[in-house]
Amino acid sequence: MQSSVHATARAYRKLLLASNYPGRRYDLAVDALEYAFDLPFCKGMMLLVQTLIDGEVGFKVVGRGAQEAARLISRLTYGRPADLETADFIIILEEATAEEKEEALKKSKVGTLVDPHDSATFLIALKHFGHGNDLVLRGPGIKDNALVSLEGQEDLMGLREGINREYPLGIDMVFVDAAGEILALPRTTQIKRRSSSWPM
Amino acid sequence: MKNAYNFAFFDEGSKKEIRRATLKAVAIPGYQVPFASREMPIARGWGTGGLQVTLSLINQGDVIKVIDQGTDESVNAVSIKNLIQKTTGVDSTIDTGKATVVQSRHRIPEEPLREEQIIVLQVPMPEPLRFVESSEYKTKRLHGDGEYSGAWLVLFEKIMKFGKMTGGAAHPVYVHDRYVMSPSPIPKYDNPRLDHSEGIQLFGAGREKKIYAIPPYTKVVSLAFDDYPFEVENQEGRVCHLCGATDVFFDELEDELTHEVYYQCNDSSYCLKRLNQGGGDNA
Repeated sequence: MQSSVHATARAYRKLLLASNYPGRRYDLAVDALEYAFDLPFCKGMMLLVQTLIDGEVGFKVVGRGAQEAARLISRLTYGRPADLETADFIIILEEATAEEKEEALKKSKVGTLVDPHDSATFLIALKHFGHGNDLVLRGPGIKDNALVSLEGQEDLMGLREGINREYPLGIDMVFVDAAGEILALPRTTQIKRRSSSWPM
Repeated sequence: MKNAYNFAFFDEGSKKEIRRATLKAVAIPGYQVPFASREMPIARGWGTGGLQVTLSLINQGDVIKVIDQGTDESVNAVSIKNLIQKTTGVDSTIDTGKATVVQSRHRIPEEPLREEQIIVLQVPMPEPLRFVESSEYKTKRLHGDGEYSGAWLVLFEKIMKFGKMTGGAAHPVYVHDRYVMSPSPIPKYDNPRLDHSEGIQLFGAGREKKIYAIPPYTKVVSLAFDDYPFEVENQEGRVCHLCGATDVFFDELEDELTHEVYYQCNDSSYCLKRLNQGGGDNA
């Protein structure tokens, strides 16, 4: 197993790049990672959790197997289990239902005008990103626009738009697929469907 | 490499906290994210904020460049570079183009940043409203409300007093049409290069315990009035006495014997690169 010091340093760097260039996918290179226990989610999500969570922050896991996943995260990182309203990190498992995701988004903290950073970051697991490139992104970090696929997450994008309407309040998102690729959507990113003027 | 420290000096908990703050800073361009600034083996006010940001993001395989007011060779830059290298084992360079991470005090290198290149600027005074409001409690609320009359008033008073916007460094900027931000004490000459930069710009203030950021391709506008537009330092007619460069930021020097004033590129590695490439009639 690689040293977690370097593995998390590399993962953070990819996360930093992904946050600075929304819409670009970065590979966490998880193939070399080995864990001596069964993971309740993909290796990429495990690496993100190890990189970001410790005893200073609260987290909430959403989806089937959430309890087991939360226990593992707590044991490994000392992260504090929290409810949706106060969690700093909300981990959406691949099997989470549309209703569970909607509830998580609606209840998540968006910060205050004085402390907009006191807001939730969503870590969302996907099977794969898809190939449609049907979403158009604009905003800081994007030269003109970026085309991305977030298969099955379109409804989530609509909700996100509503939550992030009152910038600088809002939530930030990181998607990770089974292959360990990540894509970040900070709150500044504006999303539209391609060939439609409907803002999401 | 073996040494008595964890990779990049910090314990992993400290890195995580700085990393989380930096990611929020990127998500809210120009907003100062508070963080638990650590004790460092250099004094606060000597680049501890920048150093903490650099150490939190550095990887094996990175190539680091550290400059202090344009030079790679000042004591402060060399000491910071030594600390980073001794605790990480990464290579260093003076060539801006070869660096993956540039830590800088008070300058943005002449060579434009490229995509995915990171510049970390050391910040002594991150709060652009501090001159008009001493209370942190109140400045945070002013930022929250987007109430920047104080920042405009400072510029207005300079115009009333001196007929122009004086102040050679840290001229405030509007970031993403929302936050007024201090760009750190870079000369006004560097301000336009903050706008829609291809690279990643991170700012660390260790003593003031703040991290903020400007992501790539972000709108950054220097504060100015319609009838008193923003102006950079006038470099017209100046020529580097070493490499012959004309369109760079200069150091003004004086010959001690003749008292003749002459100019030299402030970015010493840029000047050296030009000389090595045979640039300049005066070389």
